[in-house]
Amino acid sequence: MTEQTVMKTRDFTLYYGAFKALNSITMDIPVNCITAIIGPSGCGKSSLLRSFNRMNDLIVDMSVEGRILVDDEEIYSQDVVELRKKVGMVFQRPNPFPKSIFDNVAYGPRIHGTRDRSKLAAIVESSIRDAALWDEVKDDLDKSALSLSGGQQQRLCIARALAVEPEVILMDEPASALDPVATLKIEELMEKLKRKYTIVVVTHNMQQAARVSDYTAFLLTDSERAGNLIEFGGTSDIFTKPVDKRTEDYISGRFG
Amino acid sequence: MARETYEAEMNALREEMLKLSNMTNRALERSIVILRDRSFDEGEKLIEDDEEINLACHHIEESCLNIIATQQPVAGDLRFIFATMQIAMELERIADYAKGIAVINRKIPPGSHIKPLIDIPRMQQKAREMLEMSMDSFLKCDLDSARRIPSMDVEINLLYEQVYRELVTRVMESPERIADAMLLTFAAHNLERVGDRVINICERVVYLCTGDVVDMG
Repeated sequence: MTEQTVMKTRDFTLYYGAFKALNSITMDIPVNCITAIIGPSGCGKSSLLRSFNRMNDLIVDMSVEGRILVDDEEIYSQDVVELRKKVGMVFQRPNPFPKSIFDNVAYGPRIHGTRDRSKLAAIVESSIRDAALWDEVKDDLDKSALSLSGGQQQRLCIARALAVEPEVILMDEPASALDPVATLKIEELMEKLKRKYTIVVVTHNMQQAARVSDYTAFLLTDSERAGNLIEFGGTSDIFTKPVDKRTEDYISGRFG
Repeated sequence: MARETYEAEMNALREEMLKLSNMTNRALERSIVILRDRSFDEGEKLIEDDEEINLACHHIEESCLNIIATQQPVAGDLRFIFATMQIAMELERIADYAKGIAVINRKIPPGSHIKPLIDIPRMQQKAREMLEMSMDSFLKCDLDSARRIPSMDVEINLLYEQVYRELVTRVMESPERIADAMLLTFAAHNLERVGDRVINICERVVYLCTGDVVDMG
């Protein structure tokens, strides 16, 4: 890989109690690219995504081996709030806070100590602009975020993630709860966002992975149901000439 | 998860390709019988039948587009579809060469040829053998075979040069038959082109098997 990497995993293994969910994953996430993680249900792709900003920490009995590095810093030896500032997340279902549009986006910067109203206003505007939502909500910033459509709510959640100026944005099925038009908007937005950020996206939608991503990682469970990285490569290579037969069978819809 | 409709459509496409390849092969065979026996009626029939081959080729293209639009093939399947579209076109062109030979026959006045046809039927035999092998390698995705076949074209090229040399000599003996000699050279040239088209098919088979675009010509 010629690109610079922002995030790396090295022999990363994740356990939920005695159950091994991920087995020795080693991969590099290139900077300013979209990396898609694909694989059948239960292959550990969401577990891997959540590991990148330690969202799994709250799960009782969770333990890890190996390393994940962000900017060459081990994530488990840094402050989790700082980590999540660097590595933001957007979930499958839009989950705005039951607050105004403004307060949703200002939430992160406030937590990180920004109190100045005009500074907050500037962050809110630029984040909502970057999330391609500004023209639709600029006159309604005080309205409840819950009054927005699903697609708008999801872009608001992206704006909320952008407000703390992350380096990496993790997206877990960001468009699966949206209609095709809203999906297209999210995909276009991702394309735009990668100029400034690095995106890692988990998706069940293979065509979406093929459309939006630069790199694709394919995960599959082994006989013990632990997720293994089967193949990682440029998306066009994965979708035209995958090296591993299992990748070929999965992306051609022959199993999964 | 079995994709039954998809698998059925892909299999139907294989069948259609096999059929088109047999039609093309048969057209080549007929063309040389027509030229050798000076059968004008049969020639007209071959020219007419070429339309069937064109339609079969168009139908294959339609099936490919339909599968792309509705089934979103990727990886090996996508390469198969892409190779199929290209190879169908090559087969259609090969059939045009066969038709061309019937048209050439029409232009040569009735009677025996300026020379006995020995090497031209040999070229045809070799070309058909190559064609059959290449289509077999395509349908079986046989990379080794696809890589071996192009070397057979050397023989066709040598035969072509031989036909050319011999016809030049004959023209020196009977200059009044220069037109007939030229037309026979064109017929031999058509067969020489068939060899080149078969090499294109082999290139597509290599692409199908490996994903690499190669030049074997």
